Amino acid sequence: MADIKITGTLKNSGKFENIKVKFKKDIKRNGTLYLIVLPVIIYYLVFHYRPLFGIIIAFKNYKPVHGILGSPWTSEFGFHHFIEFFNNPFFYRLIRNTVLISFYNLIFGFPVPIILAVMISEVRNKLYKKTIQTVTYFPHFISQVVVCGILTEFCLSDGLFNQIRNLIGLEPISMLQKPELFRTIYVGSNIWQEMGWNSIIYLAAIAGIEQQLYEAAKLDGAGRYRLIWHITLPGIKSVAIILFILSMGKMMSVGAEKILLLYNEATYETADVISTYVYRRGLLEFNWSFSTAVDLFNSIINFSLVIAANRISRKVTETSLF
Amino acid sequence: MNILRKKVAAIILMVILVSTVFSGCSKTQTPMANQGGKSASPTGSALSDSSLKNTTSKDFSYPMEPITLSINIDPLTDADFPAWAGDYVFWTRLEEETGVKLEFIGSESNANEPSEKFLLLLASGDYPDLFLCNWLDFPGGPNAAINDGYIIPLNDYTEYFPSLMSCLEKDPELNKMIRTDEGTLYCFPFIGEKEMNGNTGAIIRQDWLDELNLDVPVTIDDWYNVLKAFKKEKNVPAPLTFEARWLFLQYAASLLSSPWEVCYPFYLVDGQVKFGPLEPGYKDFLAEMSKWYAEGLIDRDLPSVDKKTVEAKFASGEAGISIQQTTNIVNTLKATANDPKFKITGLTTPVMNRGDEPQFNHHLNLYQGCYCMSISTQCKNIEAACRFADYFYTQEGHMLTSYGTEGFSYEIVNGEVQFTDVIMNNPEAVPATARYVVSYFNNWPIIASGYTKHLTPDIIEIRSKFLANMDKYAIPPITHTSDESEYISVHYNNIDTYCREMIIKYILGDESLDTYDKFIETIKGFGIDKILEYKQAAYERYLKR
Repeated sequence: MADIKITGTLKNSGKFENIKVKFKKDIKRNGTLYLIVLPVIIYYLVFHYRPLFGIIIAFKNYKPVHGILGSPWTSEFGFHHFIEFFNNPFFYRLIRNTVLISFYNLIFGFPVPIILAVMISEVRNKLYKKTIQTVTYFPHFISQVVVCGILTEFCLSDGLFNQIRNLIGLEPISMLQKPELFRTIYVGSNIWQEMGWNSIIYLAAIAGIEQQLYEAAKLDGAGRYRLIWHITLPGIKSVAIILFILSMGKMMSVGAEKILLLYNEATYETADVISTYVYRRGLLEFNWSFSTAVDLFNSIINFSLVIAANRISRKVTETSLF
Repeated sequence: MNILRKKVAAIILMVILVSTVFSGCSKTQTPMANQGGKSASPTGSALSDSSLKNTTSKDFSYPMEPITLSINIDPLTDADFPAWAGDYVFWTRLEEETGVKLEFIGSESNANEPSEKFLLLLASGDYPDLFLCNWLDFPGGPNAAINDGYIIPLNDYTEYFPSLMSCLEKDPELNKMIRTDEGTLYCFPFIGEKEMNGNTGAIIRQDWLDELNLDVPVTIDDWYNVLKAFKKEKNVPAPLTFEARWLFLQYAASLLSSPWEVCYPFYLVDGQVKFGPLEPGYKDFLAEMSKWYAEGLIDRDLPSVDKKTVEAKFASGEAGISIQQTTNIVNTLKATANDPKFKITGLTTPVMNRGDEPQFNHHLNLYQGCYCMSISTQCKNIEAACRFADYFYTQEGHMLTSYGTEGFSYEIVNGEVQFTDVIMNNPEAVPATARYVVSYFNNWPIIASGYTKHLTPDIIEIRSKFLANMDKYAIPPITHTSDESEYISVHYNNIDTYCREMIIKYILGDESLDTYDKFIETIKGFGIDKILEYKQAAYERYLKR
């Protein structure tokens, strides 16, 4: 009713005013919700969007004493740091290692929480179920440093892994010194540490599947595996796809801490990634501009990967993040 | 009634939640509950200049008018004021003697490369009165620090630090070391002493040598034979063990490559700067090491062992020779004190032929640029700051900072400083820790002395073997121009990474030494020649200072 009255007295098409009125009505009805969300929006604006303007230091030679605006632009139209990074003799190796480690993490690490969640959901005994859940997501809370310390101990020539090898009759090897083993150790320990925690969200999704579907399928004569394949998995499909797209956004950012703790000179060949290079470079010169430039490069790639994954997912499965 | 109660409960909950947010923000506490000595001082920042302006060097004496100076050191905790030290804690005594109360604002820097929090401090634009940090390792060096407006050059204020100036006049070499190429004085330096060198060295199981009737190894071939004997007779998995990083840092494991007169990375031979891997002797050194590794004489886990593991391996008898720092040797002796058979001897740097002089050893320049105090551009009372920093170069300041308080922590016996039982036999602290409570002998702008006074005779005996001729070879504290440092920072990182990788690979045998020529070609491609040129130029500028 209010709509008709207003459109009648306006000069322009009224489309704009329609939205304004809808908005006003929305605020009146959901005012408190907007109020609750307002601090969060302000937080994102102030701490995440406003600092984005600082990205221009990637194109400058930033020195704190001159400030962001006062620092001089670099040569080659500001792209000096990027060109320096691309010309680095180890550039190809760094990219290759970063991509491969992320890729292995994704390929091997992604299905494991799903399988674990499905298996846990199939367990009948409540006590057993709870115990398994607690045991599997306990490692997530152990700090990275402790995990790497334990892992280093185990990988020594006389450590646990080699003792097991001895029992089977194999020769002991210094595992953390073999470049070819590094990715396996890294990805394997990642999976062990994170699979329990990551399975939680899948368990929640599974719990949200209608029980009636199961009953109906059982009536039709479906066995356990059929139930899983046709009901459980499709039920968590959308969650899995969303998480997959999100993890595509982290492909280029293999974190430096764990690699720094596990790598050494013997494994630089496969372990040295972009972030460890920037870390070492930083030790010598503290060039904020350079590390910002590298990070910007990483972020652009991550961003394009997310967009691409999202588009593909929308075409193929009709589920997408945005 | 129920609804009202719910509302009240909700409000109370909200208040609690919101207040936890504010509890997260804590102010940096100003430490030092004033225990004895001068208190009741205006704790604001600098006093007005008038009280000090009229003093000339002749009229001046410590303690000064009470004043507070801020400095970037992490705040003290209760642990810094243990009960046994009472009023003799260094910081308390320092305030008594100088009249300066220090305000610790945190953001402490590392000994060498600047720490992240220190850089944040610089970026914040809000500087303390005094900086304690290393400007030599700062990108661009001390000149950049002055040009960027962090610190002030001190050449115009020499009347306020007469003690330091007289030290510099007495020792022209020292004068050269601490100034820039242009002669600018930028900090109050920490000058080490010769005893600080040779802090890392090789130790051997003397009891095993006695058992197997072998002499202490002197030449590199002796080492090889001894290690072989250890492996065969004692069946140890790692006859020689050490951390791989010592091959690359502080000339610490240069004793191993000394017979070929090479080490990593840069060193001097007859006034020429050399880069280890480029020298022919380095390939021979790697050949020998890879032979040792192949025969199982070196720890299989060389790249991945850390300090504690090396210490444990040596103490538990899994290794016959190890290269460790003094602290770890002290720990080892403590851990094996109950084992009557366990005996260790320090080893001198091995030589190529019997009768040669040992050459290389672990070496730190007397002036490394670390733990130096500079005055920031935001200090309001420069004279007070200078006087304060100068205190440590006076006789009283030196004794307090190196040894503590006479009568409590040390006595003078026959002209020599001797620590009392409070330091040497303290039930609540090992000598090194105890010494740090009553003094601040190692990480402070002073001219260090008596660094080893708190060590026990057996450690001193072991360490006496570690020193050799490194003064001949070590590169002095040179500084680079900004163009040079830019080039070096871009290119040296890659060279260092690649060299470390390849050197370890050669030793482990993962890469055959036939590819050594290609290795040299690659690092030349990375620009090592130009870096050598720059280092040579910087060295020659240093000589002319």
